[in-house]
Amino acid sequence: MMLDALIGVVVFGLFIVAVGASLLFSQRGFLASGDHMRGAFLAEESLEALRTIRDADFILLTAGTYGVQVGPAGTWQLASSGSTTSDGYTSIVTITLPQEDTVQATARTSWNHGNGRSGSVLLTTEITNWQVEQPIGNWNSVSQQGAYTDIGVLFTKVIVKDEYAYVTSGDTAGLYIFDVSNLSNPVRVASSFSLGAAGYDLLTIGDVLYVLTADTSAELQSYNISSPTSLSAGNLLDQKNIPGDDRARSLAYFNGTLFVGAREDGTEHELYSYSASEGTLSLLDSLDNAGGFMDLSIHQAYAYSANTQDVSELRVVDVFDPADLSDAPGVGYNVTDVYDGNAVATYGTAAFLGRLDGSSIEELVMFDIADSIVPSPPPGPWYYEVGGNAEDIAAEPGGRYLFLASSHPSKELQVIDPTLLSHGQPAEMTYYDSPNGAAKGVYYDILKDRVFLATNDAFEIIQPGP
Amino acid sequence: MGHTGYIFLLSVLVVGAISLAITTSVLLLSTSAARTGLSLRNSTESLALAQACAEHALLALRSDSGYVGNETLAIGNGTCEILSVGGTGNENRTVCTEGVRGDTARRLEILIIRLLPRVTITSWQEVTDFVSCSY
Repeated sequence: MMLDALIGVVVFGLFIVAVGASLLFSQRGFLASGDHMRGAFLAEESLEALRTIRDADFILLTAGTYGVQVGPAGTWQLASSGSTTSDGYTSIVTITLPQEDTVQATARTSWNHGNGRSGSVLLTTEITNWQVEQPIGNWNSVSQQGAYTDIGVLFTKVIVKDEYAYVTSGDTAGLYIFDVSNLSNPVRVASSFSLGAAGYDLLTIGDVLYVLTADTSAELQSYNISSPTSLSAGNLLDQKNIPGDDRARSLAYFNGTLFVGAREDGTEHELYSYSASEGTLSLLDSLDNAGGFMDLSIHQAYAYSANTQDVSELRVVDVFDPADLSDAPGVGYNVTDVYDGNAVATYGTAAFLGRLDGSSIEELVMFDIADSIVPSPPPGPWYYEVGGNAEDIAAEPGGRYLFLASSHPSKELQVIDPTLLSHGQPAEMTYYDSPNGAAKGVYYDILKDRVFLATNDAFEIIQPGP
Repeated sequence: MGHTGYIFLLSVLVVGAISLAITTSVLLLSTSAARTGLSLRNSTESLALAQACAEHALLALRSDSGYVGNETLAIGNGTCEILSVGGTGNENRTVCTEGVRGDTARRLEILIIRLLPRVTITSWQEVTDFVSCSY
């Protein structure tokens, strides 16, 4: 009897000890889990505080180690030392500046509640100055800042990437590259490079330049331009023949697909789509049309084209599935008379069509495409007299200015106010009279706040102001 | 008398079995809580990484609308990935990023109305699976 009782008590005691130990262990586990959750929350809050400070002004984020706290104004601010909560969690943030406009931030929340309850959570992120608004000048007046002149080159289209401008030409060089780091003095680089044929439209995606040429067997070419100053034939990545000879005229890119517009041909197609990956091209589809696609602009998976089709000078193609090009609902818009569409641009809820010179028409037409893919006036359209061919159009991304390259003998660059145009008021803000002949291409770089103009005999850089 | 001893022992065993069941449950709950805490921590780190890639991509796009993405960044002890940037030009662009820490991934999908003159975002969402982007 005594032995039974003793065994019972011992066994019971063992159970009690085991239960007690496991409960204590479990409680510690629960508390540790809670500590990590709280630490993670506070560290995340610290990073959010830094983002809030960035939203106010990026320059407030300076290198160093800080705490974060809510200041007298009720907004987050940096504190000289780490901030500790009433329940014993201390958070510090460390800011480093690896490069301009970029902050690397770490937030560490640590705690030590005794009895082995200590630890920390470390979060690392990057905060950048992507919210800053790009300032631009007043384009009510313009002047030439710099130019590269070469008589008879017939500069055609221009784009700018980083510190280099790529300009196609009508001579056999086909492509000129300029170092524009000094906007007053563009310097030609890679001068020995030649396409061997005239160049037309061009664009860059990453480090790849896509350019259209008059080469009858390789109208579409792609080059690696990671080193523009040493561009050579060896940088050719791929080339494609567009059916027919010297027909390719316009380029556009959307979601990994390159679109090539061509002059009208009775038997061949006029619009082609290629998958474009790192410069490697593969034909996806083509579309036949009774007019040439002289310029292209992609807007919400629709390709707006300046077209030579007499009944549809603004032609819209659905390119959502680039392997199945199809007419957009409504197909296109027929403007007055039969002068060809020659240039097109889209911005916000507007499309701009530039046409060849006609005495009975106004060559620039602005459409409202807010509620209809193909314009369905009213409202609009609104017209502007160019006084020559509308050769190329560039929209300032903020929608305040429209830059138009033309063959007008004294207004090769025209600066237009789209808002005034859409109110039916005189919209010409100013113009530039180039001494270098008609303008064929125009490009506006908002980061430099400069217009780059391709004229018959020069590549010109235009600045706001006299 | 002998029966009383057995009853006592049997009672101890029954109580012990119940205690063991409770203890096992509590231990399992504790383990689960610890794993939840670790997952939450990894998840928070993953989100910070995904946000880092989003900030990186937005700055890159603002500087060059031809930025294509397809980039993996190593930040701290984790990595994040910027998927192929959608759209073209200054308007209607899509950025998707994924942050990974341990076996936890968080994904962000950002729809941009306009890059310049100021980046204007219409949607910045965390998603389970990407809708507007693909790997």
